[in-house]
Amino acid sequence: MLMSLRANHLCFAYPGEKLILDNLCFELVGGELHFVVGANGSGKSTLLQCLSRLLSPASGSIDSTTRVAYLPQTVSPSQDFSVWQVIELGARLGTDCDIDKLMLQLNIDHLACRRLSQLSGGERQRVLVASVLAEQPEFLLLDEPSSSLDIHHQVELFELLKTFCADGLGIAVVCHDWNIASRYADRISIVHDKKIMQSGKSQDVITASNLQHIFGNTVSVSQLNNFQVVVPAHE
Amino acid sequence: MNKSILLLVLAVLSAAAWWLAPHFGVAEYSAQIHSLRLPRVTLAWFSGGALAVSGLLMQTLLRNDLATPFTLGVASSASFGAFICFAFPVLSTTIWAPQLLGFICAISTLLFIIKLGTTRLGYSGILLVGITINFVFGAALMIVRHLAPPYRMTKLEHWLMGSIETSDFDSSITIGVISLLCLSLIWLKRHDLDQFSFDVAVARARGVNVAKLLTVGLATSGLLCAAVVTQCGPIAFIGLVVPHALRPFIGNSHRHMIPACWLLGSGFLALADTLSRSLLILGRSSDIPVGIITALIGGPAFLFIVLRKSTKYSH
Repeated sequence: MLMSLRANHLCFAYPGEKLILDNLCFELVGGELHFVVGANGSGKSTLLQCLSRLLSPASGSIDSTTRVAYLPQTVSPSQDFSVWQVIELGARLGTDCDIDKLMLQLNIDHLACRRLSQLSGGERQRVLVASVLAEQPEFLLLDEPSSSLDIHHQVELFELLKTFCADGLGIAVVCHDWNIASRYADRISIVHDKKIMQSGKSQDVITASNLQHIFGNTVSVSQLNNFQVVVPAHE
Repeated sequence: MNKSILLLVLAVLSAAAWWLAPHFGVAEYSAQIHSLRLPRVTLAWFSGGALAVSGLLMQTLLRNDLATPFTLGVASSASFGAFICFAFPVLSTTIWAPQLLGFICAISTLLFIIKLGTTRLGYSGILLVGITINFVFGAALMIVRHLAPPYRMTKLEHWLMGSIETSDFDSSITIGVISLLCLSLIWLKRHDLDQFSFDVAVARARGVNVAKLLTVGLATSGLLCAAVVTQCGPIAFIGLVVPHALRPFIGNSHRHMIPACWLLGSGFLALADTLSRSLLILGRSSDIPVGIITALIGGPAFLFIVLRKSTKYSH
Protein backbone atom coordinates (compact mmCIF):
# COMPACT_ATOMS: atom_id res chain seq x y z
CA MET A 1 0.00 0.00 0.00
CA LEU A 2 1.30 3.44 -0.95
CA MET A 3 2.09 5.81 1.88
CA SER A 4 0.42 9.20 1.87
CA LEU A 5 0.54 12.57 3.56
CA ARG A 6 -2.98 13.81 3.99
CA ALA A 7 -4.61 17.05 5.11
CA ASN A 8 -8.21 16.59 6.24
CA HIS A 9 -10.64 19.53 6.28
CA LEU A 10 -7.91 21.97 7.18
CA CYS A 11 -8.78 25.47 8.43
CA PHE A 12 -6.08 27.98 9.17
CA ALA A 13 -6.00 31.69 10.08
CA TYR A 14 -3.34 33.87 11.69
CA PRO A 15 -4.56 35.27 15.06
CA GLY A 16 -7.16 37.98 14.56
CA GLU A 17 -7.18 37.59 10.77
CA LYS A 18 -9.43 36.02 8.15
CA LEU A 19 -9.21 32.33 7.22
CA ILE A 20 -6.48 31.53 4.70
CA LEU A 21 -7.42 27.88 4.33
CA ASP A 22 -11.03 26.82 4.80
CA ASN A 23 -12.00 23.16 4.96
CA LEU A 24 -9.17 22.22 2.60
CA CYS A 25 -8.40 18.58 1.78
CA PHE A 26 -5.14 17.51 0.17
CA GLU A 27 -3.27 14.27 -0.40
CA LEU A 28 0.33 13.64 -1.38
CA VAL A 29 1.07 10.03 -2.35
CA GLY A 30 4.50 8.39 -2.19
CA GLY A 31 6.32 8.39 -5.53
CA GLU A 32 4.46 11.32 -7.10
CA LEU A 33 5.60 14.80 -8.08
CA HIS A 34 2.65 16.90 -7.02
CA PHE A 35 2.51 20.56 -8.04
CA VAL A 36 0.50 23.06 -5.99
CA VAL A 37 -0.42 26.08 -8.10
CA GLY A 38 -2.63 29.13 -7.68
CA ALA A 39 -2.67 32.90 -7.56
CA ASN A 40 -0.47 34.93 -5.21
CA GLY A 41 -1.81 34.88 -1.65
CA SER A 42 -4.09 31.90 -2.30
CA GLY A 43 -2.58 29.91 0.60
CA LYS A 44 -0.18 27.53 -1.20
CA SER A 45 2.77 28.20 1.13
CA THR A 46 0.47 28.12 4.17
CA LEU A 47 -0.71 24.68 3.09
CA LEU A 48 2.90 23.45 2.88
CA GLN A 49 3.69 24.94 6.29
CA CYS A 50 0.68 23.17 7.80
CA LEU A 51 1.75 19.88 6.18
CA SER A 52 5.25 20.29 7.62
CA ARG A 53 3.69 21.16 11.01
CA LEU A 54 5.30 24.59 11.12
CA LEU A 55 1.79 25.98 11.50
CA SER A 56 -0.95 24.45 13.59
CA PRO A 57 -4.36 24.44 11.90
CA ALA A 58 -7.36 25.92 13.70
CA SER A 59 -9.26 22.75 12.83
CA GLY A 60 -8.78 19.68 10.71
CA SER A 61 -5.88 17.28 10.86
CA ILE A 62 -2.70 16.13 9.15
CA ASP A 63 -2.44 12.36 8.81
CA SER A 64 1.09 11.11 8.59
CA THR A 65 3.42 9.11 10.74
CA THR A 66 6.24 9.36 8.23
CA ARG A 67 9.20 11.70 8.03
CA VAL A 68 8.45 14.97 6.19
CA ALA A 69 11.16 17.42 5.09
CA TYR A 70 10.43 21.03 4.19
CA LEU A 71 12.43 23.60 2.24
CA PRO A 72 11.11 27.18 2.47
CA GLN A 73 11.21 29.62 -0.41
CA THR A 74 14.10 31.57 1.10
CA VAL A 75 16.79 30.10 3.30
CA SER A 76 18.81 32.68 5.24
CA PRO A 77 21.85 31.25 7.03
CA SER A 78 23.18 33.61 9.69
CA GLN A 79 26.72 32.36 9.00
CA ASP A 80 28.43 31.35 5.79
CA PHE A 81 28.17 27.54 5.79
CA SER A 82 30.16 25.27 3.51
CA VAL A 83 28.25 23.02 1.10
CA TRP A 84 29.31 19.91 3.02
CA GLN A 85 28.12 21.45 6.33
CA VAL A 86 24.71 22.31 4.84
CA ILE A 87 24.16 18.74 3.71
CA GLU A 88 25.55 17.30 6.95
CA LEU A 89 22.97 19.35 8.91
CA GLY A 90 20.23 17.51 7.04
CA ALA A 91 22.00 14.16 7.35
CA ARG A 92 21.91 14.43 11.16
CA LEU A 93 18.20 13.60 10.95
CA GLY A 94 18.68 10.67 8.59
CA THR A 95 19.62 7.20 9.78
CA ASP A 96 22.49 6.31 7.47
CA CYS A 97 22.79 8.99 4.81
CA ASP A 98 25.86 8.69 2.60
CA ILE A 99 26.67 12.36 2.01
CA ASP A 100 29.33 11.71 -0.63
CA LYS A 101 27.00 9.48 -2.64
CA LEU A 102 24.18 12.03 -2.42
CA MET A 103 26.47 14.83 -3.59
CA LEU A 104 27.61 12.69 -6.51
CA GLN A 105 23.98 11.94 -7.37
CA LEU A 106 23.14 15.66 -7.44
CA ASN A 107 26.35 16.52 -9.29
CA ILE A 108 27.58 18.83 -6.53
CA ASP A 109 30.50 16.74 -5.28
CA HIS A 110 32.97 19.29 -6.72
CA LEU A 111 31.36 22.01 -4.55
CA ALA A 112 31.89 20.29 -1.18
CA CYS A 113 34.40 22.82 0.18
CA ARG A 114 32.80 25.90 -1.37
CA ARG A 115 30.81 28.36 0.75
CA LEU A 116 27.06 28.74 0.16
CA SER A 117 27.56 32.45 -0.60
CA GLN A 118 29.98 31.60 -3.41
CA LEU A 119 27.50 29.47 -5.40
CA SER A 120 25.32 30.41 -8.35
CA GLY A 121 21.53 30.31 -7.93
CA GLY A 122 21.29 26.88 -9.56
CA GLU A 123 24.11 25.37 -7.53
CA ARG A 124 22.72 26.83 -4.31
CA GLN A 125 19.27 25.39 -4.97
CA ARG A 126 20.72 21.95 -5.67
CA VAL A 127 22.69 22.10 -2.42
CA LEU A 128 19.59 23.09 -0.43
CA VAL A 129 17.61 20.27 -2.02
CA ALA A 130 20.48 17.91 -1.16
CA SER A 131 20.27 19.09 2.45
CA VAL A 132 16.58 18.16 2.76
CA LEU A 133 17.10 14.92 0.83
CA ALA A 134 19.84 14.03 3.33
CA GLU A 135 17.11 13.90 5.99
CA GLN A 136 15.93 10.77 4.13
CA PRO A 137 12.28 11.80 4.25
CA GLU A 138 9.36 9.88 2.83
CA PHE A 139 7.79 13.17 1.74
CA LEU A 140 9.46 16.37 0.59
CA LEU A 141 7.74 19.77 0.56
CA LEU A 142 9.39 22.44 -1.60
CA ASP A 143 8.17 26.04 -1.60
CA GLU A 144 8.95 27.68 -4.95
CA PRO A 145 12.30 25.94 -5.39
CA SER A 146 12.69 27.24 -8.95
CA SER A 147 11.69 30.88 -8.45
CA SER A 148 15.23 32.23 -8.87
CA LEU A 149 16.39 29.77 -11.52
CA ASP A 150 16.74 30.19 -15.29
CA ILE A 151 14.97 27.71 -17.54
CA HIS A 152 18.05 25.47 -17.87
CA HIS A 153 18.42 25.12 -14.12
CA GLN A 154 14.66 24.66 -13.67
CA VAL A 155 14.71 21.74 -16.09
CA GLU A 156 17.77 20.31 -14.36
CA LEU A 157 16.11 20.58 -10.93
CA PHE A 158 12.81 18.96 -11.91
CA GLU A 159 14.51 16.17 -13.89
CA LEU A 160 16.44 15.46 -10.72
CA LEU A 161 13.30 15.49 -8.55
CA LYS A 162 11.69 13.05 -10.97
CA THR A 163 14.48 10.55 -10.37
CA PHE A 164 13.87 10.69 -6.62
CA CYS A 165 10.12 10.23 -7.15
CA ALA A 166 10.92 7.10 -9.13
CA ASP A 167 12.55 5.77 -5.95
CA GLY A 168 9.30 6.27 -4.00
CA LEU A 169 9.74 9.77 -2.58
CA GLY A 170 6.56 11.89 -2.60
CA ILE A 171 7.28 15.52 -3.47
CA ALA A 172 4.92 18.50 -3.26
CA VAL A 173 6.13 21.62 -5.03
CA VAL A 174 4.59 25.08 -4.79
CA CYS A 175 5.19 26.67 -8.18
CA HIS A 176 4.03 29.67 -10.19
CA ASP A 177 5.19 28.28 -13.53
CA TRP A 178 2.20 26.46 -14.97
CA ASN A 179 4.23 25.26 -17.97
CA ILE A 180 6.81 23.56 -15.75
CA ALA A 181 3.93 22.05 -13.77
CA SER A 182 2.31 20.83 -16.98
CA ARG A 183 5.58 19.22 -18.14
CA TYR A 184 6.67 17.52 -14.92
CA ALA A 185 3.65 17.01 -12.64
CA ASP A 186 2.18 13.61 -11.93
CA ARG A 187 -0.64 15.53 -10.31
CA ILE A 188 -1.55 19.22 -10.04
CA SER A 189 -3.69 20.83 -7.34
CA ILE A 190 -5.06 24.34 -7.78
CA VAL A 191 -5.50 26.31 -4.56
CA HIS A 192 -8.20 28.92 -4.97
CA ASP A 193 -10.69 30.58 -2.66
CA LYS A 194 -9.09 28.90 0.42
CA LYS A 195 -9.69 25.40 -0.94
CA ILE A 196 -8.34 22.92 -3.46
CA MET A 197 -10.34 23.96 -6.52
CA GLN A 198 -9.33 20.93 -8.56
CA SER A 199 -6.75 18.18 -8.35
CA GLY A 200 -5.70 15.77 -11.08
CA LYS A 201 -3.64 15.20 -14.23
CA SER A 202 -2.35 18.32 -15.95
CA GLN A 203 -4.63 17.95 -19.00
CA ASP A 204 -7.67 17.87 -16.68
CA VAL A 205 -6.56 20.74 -14.45
CA ILE A 206 -4.86 23.21 -16.76
CA THR A 207 -7.92 24.22 -18.71
CA ALA A 208 -9.09 27.52 -20.16
CA SER A 209 -12.07 27.63 -17.83
CA ASN A 210 -9.97 27.05 -14.70
CA LEU A 211 -7.45 29.71 -15.70
CA GLN A 212 -10.20 32.18 -16.54
CA HIS A 213 -11.78 31.51 -13.16
CA ILE A 214 -8.51 32.30 -11.38
CA PHE A 215 -6.87 34.97 -13.56
CA GLY A 216 -9.73 36.32 -15.71
CA ASN A 217 -9.03 36.87 -19.40
CA THR A 218 -5.32 37.53 -18.99
CA VAL A 219 -4.06 34.05 -19.99
CA SER A 220 -4.98 31.34 -22.43
CA VAL A 221 -4.09 27.68 -22.88
CA SER A 222 -2.55 26.11 -25.98
CA GLN A 223 -1.43 22.61 -26.82
CA LEU A 224 2.20 21.86 -27.68
CA ASN A 225 3.65 18.33 -28.03
CA ASN A 226 0.84 16.88 -25.90
CA PHE A 227 1.45 19.37 -23.08
CA GLN A 228 -0.70 22.31 -22.04
CA VAL A 229 1.10 25.62 -22.46
CA VAL A 230 -0.13 28.69 -20.62
CA VAL A 231 0.54 31.95 -22.46
CA PRO A 232 -0.62 35.56 -22.09
CA ALA A 233 -3.93 36.09 -23.86
CA HIS A 234 -4.08 38.18 -27.07
CA GLU A 235 -5.96 41.47 -26.97
CA MET B 1 44.13 21.50 10.05
CA ASN B 2 41.88 18.93 11.70
CA LYS B 3 39.49 20.64 14.12
CA SER B 4 40.22 18.19 16.93
CA ILE B 5 43.94 18.99 16.65
CA LEU B 6 43.12 22.71 16.65
CA LEU B 7 41.07 22.25 19.81
CA LEU B 8 43.92 20.34 21.42
CA VAL B 9 46.38 23.12 20.53
CA LEU B 10 43.98 25.70 21.97
CA ALA B 11 43.59 23.64 25.15
CA VAL B 12 47.35 23.39 25.62
CA LEU B 13 47.87 27.12 24.95
CA SER B 14 45.02 28.10 27.27
CA ALA B 15 46.27 25.86 30.09
CA ALA B 16 49.80 27.19 29.55
CA ALA B 17 48.52 30.77 29.76
CA TRP B 18 46.80 29.98 33.07
CA TRP B 19 49.83 28.24 34.58
CA LEU B 20 52.57 30.51 33.28
CA ALA B 21 50.84 33.91 33.65
CA PRO B 22 51.50 34.20 37.43
CA HIS B 23 55.26 33.84 36.78
CA PHE B 24 55.39 36.61 34.19
CA GLY B 25 57.56 39.57 35.15
CA VAL B 26 59.11 37.77 38.11
CA ALA B 27 62.90 37.45 37.98
CA GLU B 28 63.00 34.39 40.21
CA TYR B 29 60.41 31.76 40.74
CA SER B 30 58.65 32.30 44.02
CA ALA B 31 55.98 29.99 45.38
CA GLN B 32 54.57 32.90 47.36
CA ILE B 33 54.13 35.14 44.29
CA HIS B 34 52.63 32.21 42.43
CA SER B 35 50.11 31.51 45.16
CA LEU B 36 49.20 35.20 45.39
CA ARG B 37 48.75 35.67 41.69
CA LEU B 38 47.15 32.36 40.83
CA PRO B 39 43.66 33.33 42.16
CA ARG B 40 43.70 36.47 40.01
CA VAL B 41 44.82 34.62 36.87
CA THR B 42 42.25 31.88 37.56
CA LEU B 43 39.48 34.49 37.83
CA ALA B 44 40.65 36.04 34.53
CA TRP B 45 40.77 32.57 32.93
CA PHE B 46 37.21 31.66 33.92
CA SER B 47 35.86 35.13 33.10
CA GLY B 48 37.39 35.18 29.62
CA GLY B 49 35.92 31.79 28.77
CA ALA B 50 32.49 32.76 30.10
CA LEU B 51 32.42 36.04 28.13
CA ALA B 52 33.53 34.36 24.88
CA VAL B 53 30.86 31.62 25.09
CA SER B 54 28.27 34.23 26.08
CA GLY B 55 29.17 36.24 22.96
CA LEU B 56 28.98 33.16 20.74
CA LEU B 57 25.49 32.40 22.04
CA MET B 58 24.30 35.97 21.49
CA GLN B 59 25.58 36.02 17.91
CA THR B 60 23.89 32.70 17.15
CA LEU B 61 20.57 33.38 18.86
CA LEU B 62 20.13 36.95 17.65
CA ARG B 63 21.44 35.96 14.20
CA ASN B 64 23.60 39.05 14.27
CA ASP B 65 27.39 39.23 13.94
CA LEU B 66 27.54 42.38 16.06
CA ALA B 67 25.79 40.90 19.09
CA THR B 68 27.91 40.72 22.26
CA PRO B 69 27.23 39.67 25.86
CA PHE B 70 26.48 43.33 26.52
CA THR B 71 23.91 43.66 23.72
CA LEU B 72 20.85 42.74 25.78
CA GLY B 73 21.58 45.22 28.55
CA VAL B 74 22.14 42.39 31.04
CA ALA B 75 25.70 43.59 31.65
CA SER B 76 24.68 47.20 32.22
CA SER B 77 21.93 46.17 34.65
CA ALA B 78 24.40 43.93 36.52
CA SER B 79 26.89 46.81 36.54
CA PHE B 80 24.21 49.11 37.92
CA GLY B 81 23.35 46.73 40.77
CA ALA B 82 26.97 46.16 41.75
CA PHE B 83 27.88 49.82 41.25
CA ILE B 84 25.20 51.03 43.70
CA CYS B 85 26.76 48.90 46.44
CA PHE B 86 30.26 50.10 45.62
CA ALA B 87 29.12 53.74 45.55
CA PHE B 88 27.11 53.64 48.77
CA PRO B 89 28.81 51.38 51.33
CA VAL B 90 25.70 51.56 53.53
CA LEU B 91 24.08 49.11 51.10
CA SER B 92 26.96 46.68 51.38
CA THR B 93 25.66 44.79 54.38
CA THR B 94 27.77 41.76 53.41
CA ILE B 95 30.90 41.36 51.34
CA TRP B 96 28.75 39.66 48.69
CA ALA B 97 26.22 42.52 48.45
CA PRO B 98 27.52 44.03 45.14
CA GLN B 99 27.53 40.62 43.44
CA LEU B 100 24.12 39.76 44.86
CA LEU B 101 22.44 43.01 43.85
CA GLY B 102 24.15 42.91 40.45
CA PHE B 103 22.84 39.40 39.93
CA ILE B 104 19.31 40.34 40.98
CA CYS B 105 19.29 43.26 38.51
CA ALA B 106 20.71 41.05 35.72
CA ILE B 107 18.22 38.23 36.30
CA SER B 108 15.27 40.68 36.39
CA THR B 109 16.40 42.23 33.09
CA LEU B 110 16.93 38.81 31.57
CA LEU B 111 13.47 37.58 32.57
CA PHE B 112 11.92 40.75 31.14
CA ILE B 113 13.73 40.31 27.82
CA ILE B 114 12.98 36.59 27.56
CA LYS B 115 9.31 37.23 28.32
CA LEU B 116 9.12 39.91 25.63
CA GLY B 117 11.38 38.12 23.19
CA THR B 118 9.60 34.79 23.13
CA THR B 119 6.11 36.21 23.02
CA ARG B 120 5.93 39.36 20.94
CA LEU B 121 9.25 40.33 19.42
CA GLY B 122 11.42 39.05 16.62
CA TYR B 123 15.21 38.92 16.73
CA SER B 124 15.62 42.56 15.73
CA GLY B 125 13.00 43.46 18.38
CA ILE B 126 15.01 41.70 21.11
CA LEU B 127 18.08 43.60 19.92
CA LEU B 128 16.26 46.96 20.06
CA VAL B 129 14.92 46.26 23.56
CA GLY B 130 18.44 45.31 24.64
CA ILE B 131 19.91 48.53 23.27
CA THR B 132 17.19 50.55 25.02
CA ILE B 133 17.83 48.79 28.34
CA ASN B 134 21.53 49.48 27.86
CA PHE B 135 20.85 53.21 27.52
CA VAL B 136 18.46 53.31 30.48
CA PHE B 137 20.87 51.54 32.84
CA GLY B 138 23.75 53.60 31.42
CA ALA B 139 21.88 56.75 32.44
CA ALA B 140 21.02 55.26 35.85
CA LEU B 141 24.70 54.46 36.33
CA MET B 142 25.58 58.09 35.59
CA ILE B 143 23.12 59.27 38.24
CA VAL B 144 24.66 56.95 40.85
CA ARG B 145 28.10 58.13 39.80
CA HIS B 146 27.00 61.75 40.17
CA LEU B 147 25.59 61.14 43.65
CA ALA B 148 28.38 58.87 44.94
CA PRO B 149 30.78 60.27 47.56
CA PRO B 150 33.91 61.65 45.80
CA TYR B 151 36.28 59.49 47.86
CA ARG B 152 34.73 56.34 46.32
CA MET B 153 35.29 57.53 42.76
CA THR B 154 38.77 56.05 42.11
CA LYS B 155 37.65 52.54 43.01
CA LEU B 156 34.40 52.98 41.07
CA GLU B 157 36.15 54.24 37.93
CA HIS B 158 38.61 51.35 38.12
CA TRP B 159 35.79 48.81 38.41
CA LEU B 160 33.77 50.41 35.61
CA MET B 161 36.68 49.96 33.20
CA GLY B 162 36.74 46.24 33.96
CA SER B 163 39.35 45.09 36.42
CA ILE B 164 40.36 41.78 37.94
CA GLU B 165 41.40 42.05 41.55
CA THR B 166 41.21 39.18 43.94
CA SER B 167 43.40 37.42 46.45
CA ASP B 168 41.38 34.25 46.93
CA PHE B 169 39.61 31.63 44.85
CA ASP B 170 36.03 32.46 45.98
CA SER B 171 35.14 34.54 42.90
CA SER B 172 36.73 31.98 40.57
CA ILE B 173 34.74 29.18 42.17
CA THR B 174 31.50 31.16 41.74
CA ILE B 175 32.14 31.85 38.05
CA GLY B 176 33.52 28.33 37.55
CA VAL B 177 30.39 26.65 38.97
CA ILE B 178 28.02 28.93 37.01
CA SER B 179 30.06 28.34 33.83
CA LEU B 180 30.04 24.59 34.28
CA LEU B 181 26.25 24.56 34.67
CA CYS B 182 25.71 26.89 31.72
CA LEU B 183 28.14 25.02 29.46
CA SER B 184 26.53 21.67 30.28
CA LEU B 185 23.12 23.10 29.44
CA ILE B 186 24.22 24.67 26.17
CA TRP B 187 26.24 21.60 25.16
CA LEU B 188 22.97 19.65 25.14
CA LYS B 189 21.58 22.22 22.69
CA ARG B 190 24.57 22.26 20.31
CA HIS B 191 22.75 20.50 17.44
CA ASP B 192 19.72 22.77 17.79
CA LEU B 193 22.01 25.82 17.70
CA ASP B 194 23.58 24.57 14.45
CA GLN B 195 20.18 24.09 12.79
CA PHE B 196 18.98 27.45 14.11
CA SER B 197 21.99 29.33 12.75
CA PHE B 198 21.38 27.72 9.34
CA ASP B 199 17.74 28.77 9.01
CA VAL B 200 14.93 29.29 11.51
CA ALA B 201 12.11 27.80 9.40
CA VAL B 202 14.23 24.79 8.39
CA ALA B 203 15.23 24.31 12.03
CA ARG B 204 11.60 24.30 13.13
CA ALA B 205 10.69 21.84 10.38
CA ARG B 206 13.54 19.65 11.65
CA GLY B 207 11.99 19.55 15.09
CA VAL B 208 13.85 22.33 16.91
CA ASN B 209 11.72 24.04 19.55
CA VAL B 210 12.81 27.59 18.71
CA ALA B 211 11.05 29.33 21.61
CA LYS B 212 12.64 26.94 24.13
CA LEU B 213 16.05 27.28 22.49
CA LEU B 214 15.82 31.09 22.68
CA THR B 215 14.80 30.96 26.33
CA VAL B 216 17.55 28.55 27.36
CA GLY B 217 20.18 30.22 25.19
CA LEU B 218 19.47 33.81 26.23
CA ALA B 219 19.26 32.80 29.89
CA THR B 220 22.58 30.95 29.68
CA SER B 221 24.34 33.77 27.87
CA GLY B 222 22.92 36.36 30.31
CA LEU B 223 23.94 34.31 33.36
CA LEU B 224 27.50 33.87 32.11
CA CYS B 225 27.77 37.58 31.40
CA ALA B 226 26.19 38.64 34.71
CA ALA B 227 28.49 36.29 36.67
CA VAL B 228 31.56 37.98 35.17
CA VAL B 229 30.32 41.57 35.27
CA THR B 230 29.34 41.41 38.94
CA GLN B 231 32.85 40.15 39.80
CA CYS B 232 35.08 42.07 37.40
CA GLY B 233 33.03 44.90 35.90
CA PRO B 234 32.29 45.22 32.19
CA ILE B 235 35.21 43.75 30.18
CA ALA B 236 34.80 44.69 26.55
CA PHE B 237 35.40 43.02 23.19
CA ILE B 238 36.12 39.39 24.23
CA GLY B 239 32.55 38.25 23.49
CA LEU B 240 32.64 40.00 20.13
CA VAL B 241 36.13 39.17 18.88
CA VAL B 242 36.72 35.58 20.00
CA PRO B 243 33.87 33.91 18.02
CA HIS B 244 34.78 35.94 14.92
CA ALA B 245 38.47 35.07 15.22
CA LEU B 246 37.69 31.33 15.46
CA ARG B 247 35.03 30.88 12.77
CA PRO B 248 37.43 30.85 9.77
CA PHE B 249 39.37 27.96 11.35
CA ILE B 250 36.72 26.11 13.36
CA GLY B 251 33.62 26.63 11.19
CA ASN B 252 30.05 27.04 12.38
CA SER B 253 29.52 23.80 14.27
CA HIS B 254 28.79 24.52 17.93
CA ARG B 255 30.28 21.15 18.87
CA HIS B 256 33.65 22.71 18.12
CA MET B 257 32.88 26.40 18.60
CA ILE B 258 31.71 26.15 22.24
CA PRO B 259 34.94 24.59 23.60
CA ALA B 260 37.12 26.62 21.22
CA CYS B 261 35.56 29.93 22.32
CA TRP B 262 35.97 28.95 25.96
CA LEU B 263 39.64 28.07 25.52
CA LEU B 264 40.62 31.11 23.42
CA GLY B 265 38.59 33.51 25.59
CA SER B 266 40.08 32.21 28.82
CA GLY B 267 43.66 32.25 27.51
CA PHE B 268 43.19 35.70 26.01
CA LEU B 269 41.89 37.30 29.23
CA ALA B 270 44.56 35.57 31.35
CA LEU B 271 47.24 37.06 29.08
CA ALA B 272 45.52 40.48 28.88
CA ASP B 273 45.40 40.60 32.69
CA THR B 274 49.09 39.68 32.87
CA LEU B 275 49.85 42.47 30.42
CA SER B 276 47.72 44.95 32.39
CA ARG B 277 49.65 44.39 35.62
CA SER B 278 53.06 44.05 33.95
CA LEU B 279 53.01 47.07 31.65
CA LEU B 280 55.44 49.77 32.64
CA ILE B 281 54.12 53.23 31.88
CA LEU B 282 56.52 56.11 32.47
CA GLY B 283 58.87 53.74 34.22
CA ARG B 284 56.46 52.42 36.80
CA SER B 285 54.01 49.59 37.09
CA SER B 286 50.63 50.78 35.89
CA ASP B 287 48.15 47.99 36.77
CA ILE B 288 45.68 49.54 34.36
CA PRO B 289 42.18 47.94 34.20
CA VAL B 290 42.15 44.85 32.01
CA GLY B 291 39.06 46.15 30.15
CA ILE B 292 41.28 48.79 28.56
CA ILE B 293 43.79 46.17 27.39
CA THR B 294 41.08 43.91 25.90
CA ALA B 295 39.58 46.87 24.06
CA LEU B 296 43.00 48.01 22.81
CA ILE B 297 43.84 44.54 21.48
CA GLY B 298 40.30 43.47 20.59
CA GLY B 299 39.38 46.61 18.63
CA PRO B 300 42.14 46.40 16.00
CA ALA B 301 41.86 42.60 15.92
CA PHE B 302 38.14 42.85 15.14
CA LEU B 303 38.84 45.48 12.47
CA PHE B 304 41.42 43.14 10.91
CA ILE B 305 38.95 40.23 10.87
CA VAL B 306 36.21 42.37 9.31
CA LEU B 307 38.53 43.80 6.63
CA ARG B 308 39.93 40.34 5.83
CA LYS B 309 36.41 38.97 5.49
CA SER B 310 35.24 41.82 3.23
CA THR B 311 38.38 41.52 1.04
CA LYS B 312 37.81 37.78 0.70
CA TYR B 313 34.23 38.21 -0.51
CA SER B 314 34.83 41.23 -2.75
CA HIS B 315 36.96 39.10 -5.14
